[in-house]
Amino acid sequence: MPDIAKGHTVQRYDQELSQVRDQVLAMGRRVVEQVNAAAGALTEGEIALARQVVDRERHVDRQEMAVDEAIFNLIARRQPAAIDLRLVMALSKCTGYLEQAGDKAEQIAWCALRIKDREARGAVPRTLHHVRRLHRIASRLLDLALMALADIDVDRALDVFREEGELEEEFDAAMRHLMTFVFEDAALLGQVIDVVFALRALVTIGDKASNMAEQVIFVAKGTDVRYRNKEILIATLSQASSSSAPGGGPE
Amino acid sequence: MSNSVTPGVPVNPGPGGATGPDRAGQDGRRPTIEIVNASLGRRYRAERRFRFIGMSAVVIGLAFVAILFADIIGKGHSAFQQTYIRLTVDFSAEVIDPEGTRDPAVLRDANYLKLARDALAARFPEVTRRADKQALYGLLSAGAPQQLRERVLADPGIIGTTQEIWLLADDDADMFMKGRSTPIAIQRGVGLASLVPVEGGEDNQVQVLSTANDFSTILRDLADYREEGRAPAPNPGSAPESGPSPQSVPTLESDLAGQEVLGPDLPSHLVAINGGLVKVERATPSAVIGTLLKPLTSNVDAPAEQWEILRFATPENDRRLKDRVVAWLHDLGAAGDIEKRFNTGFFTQGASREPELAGIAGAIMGSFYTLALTLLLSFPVGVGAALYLEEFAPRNWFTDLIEVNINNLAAVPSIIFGLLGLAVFINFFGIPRSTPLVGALVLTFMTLPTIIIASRSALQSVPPSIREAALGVGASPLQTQFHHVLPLAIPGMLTGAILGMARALGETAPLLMIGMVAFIVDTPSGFLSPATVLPVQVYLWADSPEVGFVERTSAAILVLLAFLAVMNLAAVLLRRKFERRW
Amino acid sequence: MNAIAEDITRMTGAMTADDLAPLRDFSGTVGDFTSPKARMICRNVDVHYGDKHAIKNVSLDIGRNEVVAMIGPSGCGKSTFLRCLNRMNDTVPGCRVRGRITLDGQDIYDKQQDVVPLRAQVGMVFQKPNPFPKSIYENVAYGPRIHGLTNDKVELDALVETSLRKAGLWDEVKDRLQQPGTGLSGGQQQRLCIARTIAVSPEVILMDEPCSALDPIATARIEELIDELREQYSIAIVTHSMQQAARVSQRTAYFHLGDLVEVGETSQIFTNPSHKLTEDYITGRFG
Repeated sequence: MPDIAKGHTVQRYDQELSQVRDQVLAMGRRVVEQVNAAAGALTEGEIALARQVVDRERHVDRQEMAVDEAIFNLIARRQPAAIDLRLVMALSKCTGYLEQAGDKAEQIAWCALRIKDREARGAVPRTLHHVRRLHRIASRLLDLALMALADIDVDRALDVFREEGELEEEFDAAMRHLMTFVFEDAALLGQVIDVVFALRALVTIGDKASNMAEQVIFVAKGTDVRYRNKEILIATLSQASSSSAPGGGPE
Repeated sequence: MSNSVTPGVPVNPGPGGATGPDRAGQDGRRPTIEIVNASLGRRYRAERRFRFIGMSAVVIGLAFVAILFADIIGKGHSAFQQTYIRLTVDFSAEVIDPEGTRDPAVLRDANYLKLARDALAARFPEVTRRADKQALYGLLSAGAPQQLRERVLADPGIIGTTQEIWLLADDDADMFMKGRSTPIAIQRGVGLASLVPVEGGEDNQVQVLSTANDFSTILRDLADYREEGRAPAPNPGSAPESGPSPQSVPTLESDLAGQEVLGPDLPSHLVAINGGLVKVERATPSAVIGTLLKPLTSNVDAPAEQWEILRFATPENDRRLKDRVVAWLHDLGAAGDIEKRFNTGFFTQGASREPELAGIAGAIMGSFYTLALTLLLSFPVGVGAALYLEEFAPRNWFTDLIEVNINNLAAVPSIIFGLLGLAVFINFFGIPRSTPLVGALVLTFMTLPTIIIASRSALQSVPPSIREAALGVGASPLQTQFHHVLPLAIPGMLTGAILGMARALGETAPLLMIGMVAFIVDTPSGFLSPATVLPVQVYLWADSPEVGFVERTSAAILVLLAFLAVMNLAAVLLRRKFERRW
Repeated sequence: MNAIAEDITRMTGAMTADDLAPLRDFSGTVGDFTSPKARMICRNVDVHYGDKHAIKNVSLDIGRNEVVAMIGPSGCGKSTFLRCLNRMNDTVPGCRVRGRITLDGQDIYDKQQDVVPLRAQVGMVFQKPNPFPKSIYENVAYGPRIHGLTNDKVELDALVETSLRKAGLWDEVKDRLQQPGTGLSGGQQQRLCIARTIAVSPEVILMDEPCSALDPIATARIEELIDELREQYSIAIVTHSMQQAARVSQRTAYFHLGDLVEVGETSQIFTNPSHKLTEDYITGRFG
């Protein structure tokens, strides 16, 4: 698939568009790093790593502002239309999502720090495998979303929709498990709440990845698919993208 | 980096010597600015050369025009003046109206020639010989009696009175007054001149002696004249073999030794003394013998400055006016009885065999009628044809053919149109020849292509946006043309028409073929009366032998040029005034 | 289960196969070329200039109170198509028009149809402001006069004033109606041309790149005017400026080499064109 930012008669326009996209992807990579680091800090109890995440959050914010400015200029000077306009709008939105994901990473880091402060009495390590599982899923969703964004790859975006369900399921399972802890020992409540916060943040990060995937669909298909039934969407789009497949209508 | 370094030139390896040529060497070629500068001089020279050539062409062209105009104006300006002679005319009742009926028919048929001649004879009573009288009467134009007739018819009351009247002079006299006959030089006498009758000579011969060598100028003049090789070498002591005034010289006195004998092949010299004129026949430095052309009033000696020697540079044989006549004119001039006046007749009279009576009124009217009709015929047809061809006709091989033929027609020699007119209009349709009608038809054929081409280009120059605008609000094609396109194109069309008319005005050849070259005295009164036109009149006059017609030819050309200039000016002004900007 | 899915679809506006229609292979026009309030209906219009096939099987409607913009690269036939709508192509030698174009149900290429009333009904504004080299008043009064729309001077004066007012020019020229129209500025001249066009009360106004010779401010005024005129007239505008098409039109048609590639709501064409050619043109990826 050719690069959708390319092919303009004005080559400078090509450069500016890809530059904005590259900035967003770079920001995405940083957010992924942040999430990984924060989750790692929480699960491994590394204070330094958590502090590093908190410190680096500012870089993410700066990157967001840089992307916003670039997009602002691009709109003012190039007046993008059609797919370019959709791409720019999507990039703008994705920047927002990434920034929120970055915030969640920071939140997780804070959770790690608070848990460390309270000096967990054994209960926490038993709950941390939930964090690992959720983090694996969220991180993968984020990676998929970024890859989909890089190539405006509808199939990868659909993969994000397909896999985001696991996140909720996993979260529900974790909640049920954590409830038992609280029932056993109310003193663990503070720790559990922090863990739940972290888990919730990871879910949110997964949601943001899903939102980014929606934007990828918007860029590629020109249709706003937010707040739509994802299953129907997957069915329709899979059918559309593989035109040879027999027409199995949505449920 | 290129290694193409000129052999023998040391290469400066480092960047240290970054001077001009080095800089050039670094990338192997000279900087653009240097190349440009090198060729700059050549370019400017070429431009100057071109300008000079252009200016020269213009100057040469202008010089030719200036020479042409100088020549025409130099020759023609004098035609706007005409010589008149003042005579005291006795409107004797016996001659005009012996029976006293005052019947206009009688008055019209009276012998005014006799009145004029009598007046002239009275002015010069000394002229008695028959031949001299004929010459004297020749001073007046054949139109002079007509002047008297008009005078009498206008006011019969002057019959029986004596009036001073300015009468039209003959063209020879006119030419003399305008200096076309002979230059006259006047030399004041220095010594005391005494008059001595010539012994044994004829009655009217007289000898003039001067105390100074006044007459040596005559001898010198004659010698110069001979040296120029324009007369035979002198043959002292012998009279010329032939000549109108052969003089016998048996009684010559000894003090006239070394005399010069003046014949009609030599410049004439006259001595004006004591109110008389002596035509010098023989001359020595201090004395001349000559014939009295005009009687003396007295025989007393004339002091210095009171007498003079007149020199007529052209020999008598080379001019139409003999010395005698010149003497009369001189006399008239001295008395203030001859003068040049503005020549209204040139503009009011028709053609004539007599130059002093010939005018261009007939030709102008002929040109006017012809051109008016030409314009009337060719403009609507030409504009119509152009409109149709440009705006309405379909584009196909047939209209292309028509277009090519119209362009060809503009280049056809005009005499062909004359032949066409002769064959078609006169021989086939039987239109009377020599008339403005047939002339206009022929000129219409000739100017039509010009007008059509000019009109088409005028139409083409109207921007298509105007047509679109008109069509866009729902005007029909005809409305579009007449409301919008034509008003914008009309100035250009008029310009073309005027230029075509100017060409028609100057056209001679086709009109020769259809008989407009005939000699027509009357001013034409309509499209069907015989007429001629200005350029043809010029052509006719240029063919006439009389000297008087030379200046009239030039004057007619001047008038023609003036008309052309006015028409061209009108074209320019029209274009200026009506040219629209959009 | 099925019922629930339908409910979900209704509530969430889930997309159907139509929403994400795949790019059709190029043959015929993408998008809906009809208009519910169609005033001019063009079906299968072909135009030949001699050997050149300038317009290929184009169908397009122009609806009441809407501005249809026609865009496309130079030589794509959009102007040619526009000129078919009031038969200005009749004046071009060697031009043949086939197909069916109707104005309010009347075939304008019918043998019975006279072009003069047609052009009164379908007015045209041209690329270059081309006022007649006459007074401002005469410019506007010319159309009504030749068509005999008014009975006397008073009516004509009123019509001239109304037309100039509609064109937004009245306040600028009311004191100098007798001065030449060519003395106005470019934008004023173009508005004068629009006033001249609406003076004959057309039903459809065709505009052939009306702002290409104007500066941005004059352009903005014309665009504002077009938007006002939409209340009363159907407008078809050819423009080279995509932004202009996006700003003034409700529907946009993209022409390419004589084909009508795509028609659609302007917002859709400029955000999410269906055809690759349209998208390339709109995003500046052309040639």
